[in-house]
Amino acid sequence: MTLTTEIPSVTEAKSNGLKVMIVDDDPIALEILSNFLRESGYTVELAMNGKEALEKMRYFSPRIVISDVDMPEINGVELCRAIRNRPSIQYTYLILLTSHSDTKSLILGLDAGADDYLSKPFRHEELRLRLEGGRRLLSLEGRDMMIFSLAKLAESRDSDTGTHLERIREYSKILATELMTWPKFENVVDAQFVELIYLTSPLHDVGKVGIPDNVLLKPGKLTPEEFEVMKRHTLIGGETLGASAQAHPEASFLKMAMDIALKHHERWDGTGYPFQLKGEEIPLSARIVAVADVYDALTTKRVYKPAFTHEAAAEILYKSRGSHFDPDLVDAFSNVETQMRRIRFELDVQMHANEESIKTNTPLSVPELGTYPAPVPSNAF
Amino acid sequence: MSITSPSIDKVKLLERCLGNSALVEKLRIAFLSSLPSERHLLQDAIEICDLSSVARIAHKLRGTASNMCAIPLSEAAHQVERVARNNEIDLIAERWWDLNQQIEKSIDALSVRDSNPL
Repeated sequence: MTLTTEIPSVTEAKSNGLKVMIVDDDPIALEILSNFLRESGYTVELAMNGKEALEKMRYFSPRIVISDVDMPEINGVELCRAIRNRPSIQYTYLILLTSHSDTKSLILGLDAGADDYLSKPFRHEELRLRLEGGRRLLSLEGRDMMIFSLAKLAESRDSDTGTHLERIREYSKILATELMTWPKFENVVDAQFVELIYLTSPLHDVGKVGIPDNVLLKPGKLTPEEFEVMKRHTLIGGETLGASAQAHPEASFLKMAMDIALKHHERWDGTGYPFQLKGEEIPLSARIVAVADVYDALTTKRVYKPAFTHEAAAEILYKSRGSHFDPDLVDAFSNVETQMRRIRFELDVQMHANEESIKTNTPLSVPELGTYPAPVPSNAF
Repeated sequence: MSITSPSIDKVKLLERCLGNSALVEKLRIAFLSSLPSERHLLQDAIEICDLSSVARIAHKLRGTASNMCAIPLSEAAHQVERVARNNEIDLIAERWWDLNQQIEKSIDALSVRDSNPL
């Protein structure tokens, strides 16, 4: 069959639609699918197998890939794995085309990173709904990326913070996940809470955009007056995010982001700022980020101090149980110490690999989080 | 396409192509040109009892036929694929005969261009 020679390599849709790549060794399937997608406003690229798909992805960069399973060269399952393993700044939504009898391949495909599947021969309505699901997920990713970019932008004025935001969100997630298993927090912390704190904790210091350089970037100790100025970052962040939360009450992440930005410097005993809130007057999200933020500050080298070892930092947290920190959070920290140490180690390795990659202009080849062996020797910290 | 037999459901095929009769014609030519070679490949694999290749080629034919709304052909290819995967060598000849018949019917149905497809 020579049909593919007649198919344009890149078919621009009527509108500037989402980029979709179709991978199938059956040219008739490619034609029917691409016709449907073009008519639906997508920009379409075609590939006859996984190898060709990976080559074309270097310049086409699809947001959604629809792939057959059984193909020569690189099959659909291997393609899913390859896409998930390549460094990418954006998520690619993967849909596998399967026949009803091919459940083994489907399971392998989902395990390799496919997001969804479609039975062959595809039905228009089903494909339309599957694509809408993909679009919804990708738009959420866009929101998450915007939030993190905003946090990064705010942090960029601060010097030498490395992967601080990445660590904060991982630490916060670990602590919240631990609380989720406690009966006391059964009705407070659920999977959505964990997801939200992961999303919003990087915004904790977003108010620092409003702090003058002479205070924010001062290398030495702040005077009492300067410290008062610095403390205002909680109010600036809280007010900014609060205004957004008021305008969009349906967006629960804005409310949590505001709570964290405004109250992560409050202390359990009421000696924090800006409002001297006590105990459970401080939102749980802010209590969690307080622990994450202080642990990170202690274990990170700054111009005015060396990096403390994990043990030294943990000792300080334990001593501050019930004064600076919520006793439950310190107990939760003690339960997840190994995970906290591992995250710190992995992000440190990633950061150095990133720096090396930029210096030498070579592709990054660092494993994803969670792929490092545990436990890590304590002297590594 | 002169599709007087039920080998190919022309209404469904046109629907799958969202009413694009030019696309239907393009697919007709492509499918028609592919069927003889697919048949030869299958026959060769059956003659040397290469059941893994039989299953693979039949599977592909089944999918293409299904996309072309050639349901009897797709079903017959599925039967060949199934017996090949199950190593039911004694049933291969019978299923292959059925599939060959369906390939013939499909070629006949696809061979004459219909001036007014629908």
